[in-house]
Amino acid sequence: MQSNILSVFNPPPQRELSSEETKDCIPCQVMSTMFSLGFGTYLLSGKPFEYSEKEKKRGITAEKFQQMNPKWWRTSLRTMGGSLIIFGLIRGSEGWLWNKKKPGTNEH
Amino acid sequence: MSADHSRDPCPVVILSDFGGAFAMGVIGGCVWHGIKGFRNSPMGERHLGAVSAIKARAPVVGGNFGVWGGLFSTFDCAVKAVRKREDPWNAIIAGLFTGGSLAIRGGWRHTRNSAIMCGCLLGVMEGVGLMFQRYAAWQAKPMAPPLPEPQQATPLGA
Repeated sequence: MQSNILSVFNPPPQRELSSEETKDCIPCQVMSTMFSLGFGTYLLSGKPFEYSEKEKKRGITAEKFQQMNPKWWRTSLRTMGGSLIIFGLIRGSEGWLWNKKKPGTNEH
Repeated sequence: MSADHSRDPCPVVILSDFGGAFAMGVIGGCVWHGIKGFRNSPMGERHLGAVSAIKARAPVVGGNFGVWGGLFSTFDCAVKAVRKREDPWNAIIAGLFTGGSLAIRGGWRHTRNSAIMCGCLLGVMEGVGLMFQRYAAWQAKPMAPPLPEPQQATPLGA
C-alpha cells in the first residue's frame, strides 16, 4: 500500500486517475462522514477561538486574543463548521436514506 | 479478505499513515527526550531522568506527528478524489489545508502563515523528490555497449 506521506518524498508519476480507482466505497463514505462531522463540530462549537489557560500562560491577554480572532474570522469558522456538518450528514445518509441505487459503489 | 488493488488505496491509507506517523514520532521522541532528560538530570539520577522524560514527552510528540500525518493523508485523499489526478499539486494543496487546520487556534494571521509555510515546504519536498527521481533515471539510462575496435587491415605480403 502506497503511503500518502511517503509519496511526498518519492512522487509517483503524474497521471489521471481512472474512474475505477476513484470509485466511491463504504469506507470512503464512513471516513468522510466521520471527518466532516468531527471537524465541523469542533469548528461550530467555538473551541478554536476560546480564550483558555494556554493563552494566558503564553502571555496573550484577552484583548490581544480578540484581535487575533476578529468577528469575521469567528463567523467564517462557524459557517465552515456548519457546512461541514451538513455535508457530513448528506454524505453519511447517501445510499440508505437517499440515492438508494447509488451507481458505482464499491465495497473496497 | 484481500485488498482491492484496482482502486486508489484511500481511505484505508489514512489509518496507516496516522499509525506510521505516530510510530515515527514516538521513536524520535524517545531518542530526543531521552537524551534531553539524561543531560538535564543530576549525576546518579540520569537513567531515571531519561526514562521519566521519555514517559512524559514521547507520547505527546507521537500524538503531534500522528495528527499531522492523519490530517495530511485525509486532505490528500480528499484532494485526489476531487481532482481525479495524481500530481505534486495534491500534496501542496493538502499541505496548505493541514498547516491551516493545525494553526487555527492561533488566529487568522497564524492560520494563513502556517498554511502558506506548510504548502511551500511540501512543494519543496515534492520538487526535491522529483529532482532525485530524474537524477536516478538519468544515472540508470540504458547505455549502448561499446563497439568492437575495427581490425587493422594487415598489408599484403607482410
